Amino acid sequence: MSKPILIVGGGPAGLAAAHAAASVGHSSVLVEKTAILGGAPIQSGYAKLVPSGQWAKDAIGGMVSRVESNPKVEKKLNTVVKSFDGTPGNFVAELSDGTRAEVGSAILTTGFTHFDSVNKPEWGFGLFPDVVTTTQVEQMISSGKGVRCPSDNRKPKRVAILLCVGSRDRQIGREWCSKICCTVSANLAMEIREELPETHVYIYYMDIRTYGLYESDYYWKSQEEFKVKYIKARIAEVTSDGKQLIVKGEDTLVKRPITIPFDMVVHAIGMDPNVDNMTLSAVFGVDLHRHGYIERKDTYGVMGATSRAGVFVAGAAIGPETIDDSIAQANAAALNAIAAAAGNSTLQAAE
Amino acid sequence: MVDVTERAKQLREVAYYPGCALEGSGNGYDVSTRAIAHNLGLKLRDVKDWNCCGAMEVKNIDPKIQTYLSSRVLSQAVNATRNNVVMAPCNGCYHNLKKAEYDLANDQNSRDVVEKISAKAGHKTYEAGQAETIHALDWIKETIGEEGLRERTKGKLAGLKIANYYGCMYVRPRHIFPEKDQGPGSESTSKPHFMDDLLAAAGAENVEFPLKTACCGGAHTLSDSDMSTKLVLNILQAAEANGAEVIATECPTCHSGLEMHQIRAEKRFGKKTNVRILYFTQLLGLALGIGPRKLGIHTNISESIPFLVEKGLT
Amino acid sequence: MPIHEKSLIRPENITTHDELVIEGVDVSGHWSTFIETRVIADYNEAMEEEIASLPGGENIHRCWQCGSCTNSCTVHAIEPRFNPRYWIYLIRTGMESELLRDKDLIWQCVSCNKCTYACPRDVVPEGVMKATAHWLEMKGHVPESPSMIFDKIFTEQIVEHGRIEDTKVLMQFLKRTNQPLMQDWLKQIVMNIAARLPMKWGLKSAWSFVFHPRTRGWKKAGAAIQDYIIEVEQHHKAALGAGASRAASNDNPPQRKLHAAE
Repeated sequence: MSKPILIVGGGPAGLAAAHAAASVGHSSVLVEKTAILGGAPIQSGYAKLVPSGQWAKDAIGGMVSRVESNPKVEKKLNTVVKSFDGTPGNFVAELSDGTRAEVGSAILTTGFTHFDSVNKPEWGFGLFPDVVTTTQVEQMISSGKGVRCPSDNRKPKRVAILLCVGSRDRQIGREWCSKICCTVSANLAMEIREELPETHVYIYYMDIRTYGLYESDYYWKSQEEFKVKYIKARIAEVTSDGKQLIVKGEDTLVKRPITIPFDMVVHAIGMDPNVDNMTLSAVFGVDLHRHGYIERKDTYGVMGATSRAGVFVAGAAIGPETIDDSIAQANAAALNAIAAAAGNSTLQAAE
Repeated sequence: MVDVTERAKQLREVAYYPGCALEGSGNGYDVSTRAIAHNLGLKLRDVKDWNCCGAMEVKNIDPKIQTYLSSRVLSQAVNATRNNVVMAPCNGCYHNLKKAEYDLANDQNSRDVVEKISAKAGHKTYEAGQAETIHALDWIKETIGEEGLRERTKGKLAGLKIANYYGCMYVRPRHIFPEKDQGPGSESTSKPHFMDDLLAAAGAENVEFPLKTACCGGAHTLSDSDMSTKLVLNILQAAEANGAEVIATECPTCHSGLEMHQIRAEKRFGKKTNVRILYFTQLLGLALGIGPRKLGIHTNISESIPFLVEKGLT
Repeated sequence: MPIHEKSLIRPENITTHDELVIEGVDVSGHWSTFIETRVIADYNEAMEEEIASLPGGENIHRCWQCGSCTNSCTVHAIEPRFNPRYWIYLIRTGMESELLRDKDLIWQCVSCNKCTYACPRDVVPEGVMKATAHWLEMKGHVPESPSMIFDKIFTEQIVEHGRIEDTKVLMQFLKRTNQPLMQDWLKQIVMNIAARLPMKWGLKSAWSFVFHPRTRGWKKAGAAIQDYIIEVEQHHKAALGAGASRAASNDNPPQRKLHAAE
């Protein structure tokens, strides 16, 4: 019998990988650095997920309880991996709780870190209480309190959502698209309009990247059914006149400056590489992509391969990713991790 | 992590690069910088046989010539003056030396041009990383610091309402200032605060001033004077609207721009403003008890001595 | 009025018909352009490449028209027709005639670099404005701008002495741009200083005006810079000439010059 798989990170990808391995009878050790399982959707309190429309606490909560009750998965919370040595089939991981785990392979499902909006001070986050992030709006909705201005708890009459905050911006070294923010913003805009039908919602964009089926289900639907307004402008600055927020920019399609009052401004924040990636790279001996994510190798031969044999990667650890695709990648990585743990030499590049 | 006291010790003697403006229209900045250095026991060693940094004007003719000119200044500091920290009070000089450093570290083409001209000119080619350029603000902040100023000035500027005006070249573009925006303690490119910090330590009351890094139109002060006057007027009026009695400056081009266009705004547009314009070094000098003439305040274009007398600062 | 309608009311688009009857109605007189064609008939495909070959223009191809440059622009706030984003679009698509409408504005860029600070693609719009202003002058679309005259006087002094003397730059500029030496506001400034000018300072100013401040041992450096200026000028002229002839030949399509930063 081959050794268990080490899974690092208890978000959707980690939970999916643990469940996939267990479902074919393979045991795993799931290491999570925080005190709870569920990853960003649970820890950041997401509302309804794209594309299912299910509440995060139900959908991801179900994945958590399924793993929690599975005897094939050994859960280690508040724990990180200190060292990882050996070869495929025979790795030894030293954990921060002082224990050692003998494992056959590993999967890094270490996810991402939300962009911190204080790094774009011109857009008012941290200066004005009613400038918030998409994550905060998710929390307003998921907590049942509803979308309210943090300054005085009033219902906003006008909401602006700014896209590409911390994405696609060379000035702050974020040369990637965070993939999900356009769709998430369209989804949130519809949620806001549903809760507060009198509220006007504007989305300020450079490009709209609601790829695939999200085009009709989110972009078109938000315009056609929910009358969300899309303005092609990148905002220069968010200020305040003491009463309302003032959004300034150029409406590029009509070639005119805009200075428009809003009650609430929402930053559609992007996905940064996990802040721990430098450490993870050193501990596991895996290469990082030049933007700081964990680099994939052999894209067409072995799903989720890294630069180190026997160590795999899945989900937003690779780059900005959706929840459902993270889960799909985790299932594929689990298959390869089981094969690697068994010392299967068929894991080769398809070249 | 840099040892703070080691660093302070290192900066007590720096290569001083006044630049052309401080020899001419910005003489008051030069005089006051030297006066406070003397008062604080800091040594300034003038860069030997320095030349113009290239300013914006030469950059417009060709950016690589500006890179060369700045590189020669750095070469003179390192090779002729034997000091690898260059302190430049003028925002334009400071900006250009920083830009040259960045270009030489990152662009082979710039290195090639600088090497070629340096060889023809017959001096050692400056290599990126040999010197470090700092602003007069960094210099005082890192040697004497706020605590040191508090002790020495005993809050002498108390009751003086100041708008701190930093201008463009001190903060933009951000990539040539890798040491800025590095979290607590570092300077911010969007909301700079070093001048606020120093003057507050001397007792001054800094007013809220949203136009800290607005542009004074210095590039076109003669070639498009109306534009410059409008931009300066915005700055002067915003400072007054926020209750400032004085605008503190840190750049000779901004400073003389504010002074000249304050007069021009009145002549041309009938808009009179009364806010005083003083270099931050002149204000710190007053706080340290140095007399106004020793700080070159009488050589400023604008008149502020009666105001300073009224405030009990001279 | 939306951008696509603005052109309708430009003076050159207003036509006059002494006798025009449409469907039995006499419509003679001044009329706007609903009967004029509004089709774009040609693109100057060399224009972007030429501007990209001048210093500052290198990254123009990165632009994706987000508008960050225009909405952060110091000059735009005072002169709404000053619109870097729009000009970059015109240059990239080759709409030369449209760009030339604004030819007298482009040099007004104050180089505050707010656009460079904001641009998410690092186009360096400030550099593009300078390159475009140069291009307009080199192509003869505009006379040398006051700003260029100033830059040249300044650079000449540096080549000669290594340093500048600001009063001298000012005097020469006023002379070369045919402006009176004593503008009323300058007079006021001189009077202000004179009122409390100590003799020493006055003497020093006079001294530095007669004996220009200079860098010791500058001669060789100045000559080396002068050589380089001639070299780049020739290079730029060649780039603009070559760009124009390439565009004219279908056999030899223009190719993007790869920039080192890419």
